[in-house]
Amino acid sequence: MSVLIRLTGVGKQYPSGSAVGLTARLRGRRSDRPWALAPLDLEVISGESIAILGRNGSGKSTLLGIAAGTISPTSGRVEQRADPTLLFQVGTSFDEELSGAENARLELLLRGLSGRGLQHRLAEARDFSEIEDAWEEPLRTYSAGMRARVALAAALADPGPLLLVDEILAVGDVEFVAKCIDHFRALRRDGTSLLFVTHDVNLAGSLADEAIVLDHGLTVAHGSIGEGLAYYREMIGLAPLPTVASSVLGS
Amino acid sequence: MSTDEGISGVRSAPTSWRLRRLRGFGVLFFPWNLFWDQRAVVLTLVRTQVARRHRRSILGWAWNIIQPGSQAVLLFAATRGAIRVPEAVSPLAGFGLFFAALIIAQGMGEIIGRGPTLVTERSGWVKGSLFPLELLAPTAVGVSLYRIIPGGLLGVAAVALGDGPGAGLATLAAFAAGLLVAIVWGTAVGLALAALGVYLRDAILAAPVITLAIMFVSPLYVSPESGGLMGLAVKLNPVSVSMDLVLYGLRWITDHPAHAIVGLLGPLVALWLAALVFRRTSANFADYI
Repeated sequence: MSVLIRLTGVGKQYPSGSAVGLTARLRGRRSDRPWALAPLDLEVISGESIAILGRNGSGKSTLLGIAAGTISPTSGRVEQRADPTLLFQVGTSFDEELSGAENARLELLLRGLSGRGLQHRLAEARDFSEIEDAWEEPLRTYSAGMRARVALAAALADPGPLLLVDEILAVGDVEFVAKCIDHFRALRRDGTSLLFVTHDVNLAGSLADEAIVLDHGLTVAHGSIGEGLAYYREMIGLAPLPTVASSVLGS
Repeated sequence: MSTDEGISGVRSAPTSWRLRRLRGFGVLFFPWNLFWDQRAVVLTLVRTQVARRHRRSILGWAWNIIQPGSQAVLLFAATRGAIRVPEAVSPLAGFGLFFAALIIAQGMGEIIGRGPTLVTERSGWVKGSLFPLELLAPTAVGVSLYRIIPGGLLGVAAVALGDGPGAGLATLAAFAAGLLVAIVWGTAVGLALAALGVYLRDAILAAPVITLAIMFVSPLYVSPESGGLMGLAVKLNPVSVSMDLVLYGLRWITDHPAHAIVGLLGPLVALWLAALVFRRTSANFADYI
């Protein structure tokens, strides 16, 4: 067992929206701004899966961005000991003019794959995506669901030791979501760690060992998934409406 | 429970270029080590952007010749009296030298024009991926090479037709040397402007002015020996060395050794510094995009 990511006292204050000019930015004092994420500690250990729960605007994606290294914290220290694979807001790292195949190839090239290894993973990604001939068409011709399929297929073809997932399963049809959840479970059995944001209590309960619950940037609960889910259910007052993912899990 | 023992497949530090900490020789060779490592990614992006430029165009790739060629003819006709090409060459060779020098300035102008928006137009890559954003600068340079190289070769051909194959070959060698300097400068300027453009919209607004300045406050129109502010501006112009090389050939290096050394080392140092500054500031890009 080893620590993949360690966050120590990390917090985030975003620059004020009105600080548009250089002088305003220079004068702006971060200490006056609200905490999008109040300082917290978090460790992701190999083989562990943590669900980040909370209402919209509670700081979930900020926490995930800090863990990924795409957002720099205002306070605290981030220790990364492994390359995470990011599955953030469907296909944000994709180029619209490239085909699904080329976008997937770009993702895998960036992860250091080349030669036969790259070709093999690409073939796996194509099969996983199930989008067949559209695989060679430009991404701009894709629906949101097809983009999700390419993003998931590229990420899951070479997931590495740590997957950071931000609600990517919200888009996609029942069958494909079920397939992805099965794949996530298989990855977990093989020792891949997961840190994921979700509103779906069933998905969280099915995949996570641990939960962290955020509210207005504050960590209001952090513990086992059972404790976290109980707190979250109480916090939101009622169970959330079933989503595609939860209906898949329910069945 | 957590321990620091490794498990299979888990490294002790990230290898992704976005997360990698630069240490030792890695700092000295940055960003060349990144560009070499990710060359396949850069080539893919260049190919895509060039294809995008020609989408729904009948003449397609030919615009890389038509556009700069027609601009060069118009500028040559309109500003002929002010153009500084060596007097010993024929009129056709003079136009060829002018075109080859101008196309480098135009390519650099394209990079300066696009530089400030390189990062801002890829907000998804900043926030949603670990794409090493430094690669956007060599990609912009690669795209502009699609225009610079054919235009420059046409200029070389005009010199060969006007003054013979020997003069053409000499211009070709000088153009290649000038182009290498411009590529390094272009990457450095692209990186610096890309970082600046995230924080200051003024960089986007100033880009067209700088683009014009590098074309006209250059050895094509102003002598570097002219003194005063204009002379200084010509010396500070990043394309001056490339233009001097094209206009006066490789012998310009031996005629102006001090200027040549500064002009050739300057872009390397500028690229190194720009890459380090870019890397340092890029951690906060997500806050502003």
